[in-house]
Amino acid sequence: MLRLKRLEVQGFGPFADQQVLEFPDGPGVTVIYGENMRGKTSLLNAIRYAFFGTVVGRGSRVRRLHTISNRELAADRQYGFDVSLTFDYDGAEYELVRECKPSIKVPTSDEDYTLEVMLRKGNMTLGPQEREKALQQIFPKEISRFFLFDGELLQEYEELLINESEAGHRISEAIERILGVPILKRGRAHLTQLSEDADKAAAKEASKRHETQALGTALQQAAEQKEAHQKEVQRKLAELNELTTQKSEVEQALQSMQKYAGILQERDEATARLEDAGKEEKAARADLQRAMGDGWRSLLRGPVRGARAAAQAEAEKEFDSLIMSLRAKAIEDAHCGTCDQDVSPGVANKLRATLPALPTQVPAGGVSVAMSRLADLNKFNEADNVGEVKQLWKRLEELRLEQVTLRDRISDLTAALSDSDPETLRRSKASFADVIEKISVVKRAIDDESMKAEEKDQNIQRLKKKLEAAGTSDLRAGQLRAKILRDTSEVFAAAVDRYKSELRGRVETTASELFLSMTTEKQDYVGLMINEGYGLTIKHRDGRAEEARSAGAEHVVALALMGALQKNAPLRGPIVMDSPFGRLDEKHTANVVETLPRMAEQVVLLVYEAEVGRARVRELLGSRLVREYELDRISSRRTNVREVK
Amino acid sequence: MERDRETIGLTAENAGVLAEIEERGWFLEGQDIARFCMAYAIRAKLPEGATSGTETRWAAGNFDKTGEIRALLAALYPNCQTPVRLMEHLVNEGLRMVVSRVRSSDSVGPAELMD
Repeated sequence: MLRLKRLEVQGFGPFADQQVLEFPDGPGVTVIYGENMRGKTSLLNAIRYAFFGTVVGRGSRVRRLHTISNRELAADRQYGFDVSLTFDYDGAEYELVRECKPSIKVPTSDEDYTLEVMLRKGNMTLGPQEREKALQQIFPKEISRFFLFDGELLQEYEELLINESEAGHRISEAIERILGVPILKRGRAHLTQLSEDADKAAAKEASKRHETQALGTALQQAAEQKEAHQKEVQRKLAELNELTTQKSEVEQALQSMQKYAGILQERDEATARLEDAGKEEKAARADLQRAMGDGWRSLLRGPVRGARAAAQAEAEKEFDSLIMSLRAKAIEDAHCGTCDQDVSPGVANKLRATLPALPTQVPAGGVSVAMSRLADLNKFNEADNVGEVKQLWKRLEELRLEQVTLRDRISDLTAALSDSDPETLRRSKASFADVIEKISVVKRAIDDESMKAEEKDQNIQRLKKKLEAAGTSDLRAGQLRAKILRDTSEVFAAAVDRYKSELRGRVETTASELFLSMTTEKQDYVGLMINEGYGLTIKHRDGRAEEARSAGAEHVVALALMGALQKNAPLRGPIVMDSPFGRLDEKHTANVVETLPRMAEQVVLLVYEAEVGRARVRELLGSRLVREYELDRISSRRTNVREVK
Repeated sequence: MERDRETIGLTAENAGVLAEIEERGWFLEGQDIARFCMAYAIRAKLPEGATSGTETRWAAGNFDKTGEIRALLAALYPNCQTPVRLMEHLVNEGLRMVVSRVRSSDSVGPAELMD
């Protein structure tokens, strides 16, 4: 059994100074309280880093080590961190130390660090190979998900209920691994190989004898051909396995960045729009400048029109006066100088009646001032682009505002993307399509090769029967050996299935007990039902499965599975859980806290007090609460760990 | 009779004002601003006058290539004997008036100046 004893961190996340946490001996729960941003997840990651040298962020994405250094120290150009974990395993004490040191003054990426690892067992420091072997035995990375987890990881267990789900298949494999199934599977494969070798030896022997030579040679050839097809199937399966892993990784990356994908797309669109708005603004500004070049004409349109009307009126008045003066002169001279005709007394009287009472002022000779002014004013080329200017200005204002809004939005979106790598996302999308295509090709090839191997096998069975009929007693001995091995392999295969089935039964029973302890619907639910892939369904008292279950119920089921795996696995260890109550109501949370000591001998709970209060934790756990720590804020970039007495 | 000038100049202060307006990007060039400000002053019925202490910026022939402005001033300021001096005065006073309006509020743009 693995048991944590002591964790020391320095420079890791918000833990600038060296911080120490001691985990007491004996069963029980250690609770670490900390508000958001204080470093709860960093502590979980520190344990993960000690064992595996990796740090995981949201969406199970591996984080760059360069981003782990304490930011306050990094601001003072002090980079790097170290983690030391002391634990007991199978009666021996181990100390595991990992140091991440900068290899240059100002590191900018993971390549700028050197990593050092030391594993001490008792008084002896293990060499690199021994160390890796020991760590793989003590705590294989593949099963770490059942020991170190957070609320986000718990959500993944729903995948187990979905047939053909890649993620579900991956988790099922991990579950079988923690339960020790792979060892048995390997035994079965070994027996199958031995039976095939015995078949080949029998065929070879037969080919040496005259009476069975033809049959023996045909059998040998068929066996070789079958083996070639099987090898090809194995090769393709390995290829498929690799591709499936690739697909899972890409899928995981895409899933984890799903929210980023939306943000990234929005940012890309906003950036493109910002560029377009910039171009539109430039064009609108050029139009405005052109329009403003004639702006002065628009400004003067009104005054010029007014002046023109006034000049026109004055000129008309002058013209009227001239006419009157000509009439008066025609009456006086009894002759019209304009048309050169005499004016009769009758006509003179008519004309006199049109004259004003007062004598008319005759305009001075030469060009009229008003006419001259009018002529000047008429030189002015009128323009009216006020409407156009208003429209362009309005458009410019809109574009300016739009650009400010877009810049703000892009800035917000960029901040939201700061923990992601958009380039990786783009590449992931491209490689996802590529991997899917490759998987489809490999699967077709596997089906094809498997069919060929099957055909060869049928041929082999026919040939074997003929050989058995034609063979001598010493030949039959070899054939018998092959048959015994084949039968043993089949028995072993059936045993593996039976073992798995019993194991599932045990997991189902334990998970049901834990689930019933944690659920608030004890009256209606009778337990959990397990499927082939270790997916768990809630069983109602009416015997039916609860098809729709809430996020909270999902969480409780996942926690029950965790506890059940711990109880039934050959490898036992601590459970370290980070803020696992996010989706649970108060009653469920209380039930889970109460059940924690039953899930594993050693439980470390990282929690913020809004999830469950300190007094409530003490009340629920009683003597099973073995230690409490508080993460104290020193500054936004610095946290200290303090034991709560 | 007082001799007219052949160029139009700006006072040092108004040269700064011109640069300030130019920076706003509403006009393509300084002459466009000057003509606009001159028109702004005419529309405001600024009386005839002269501005001293100016430094040459534009040749009057270039400033009024079509002769429209000269004709306009002759019509609107019939007693004026020195139209280029008047042009210069109107430009300088117009600059002061426009900048004072523009500085009065952020919401004043070219469209508002034309209202």
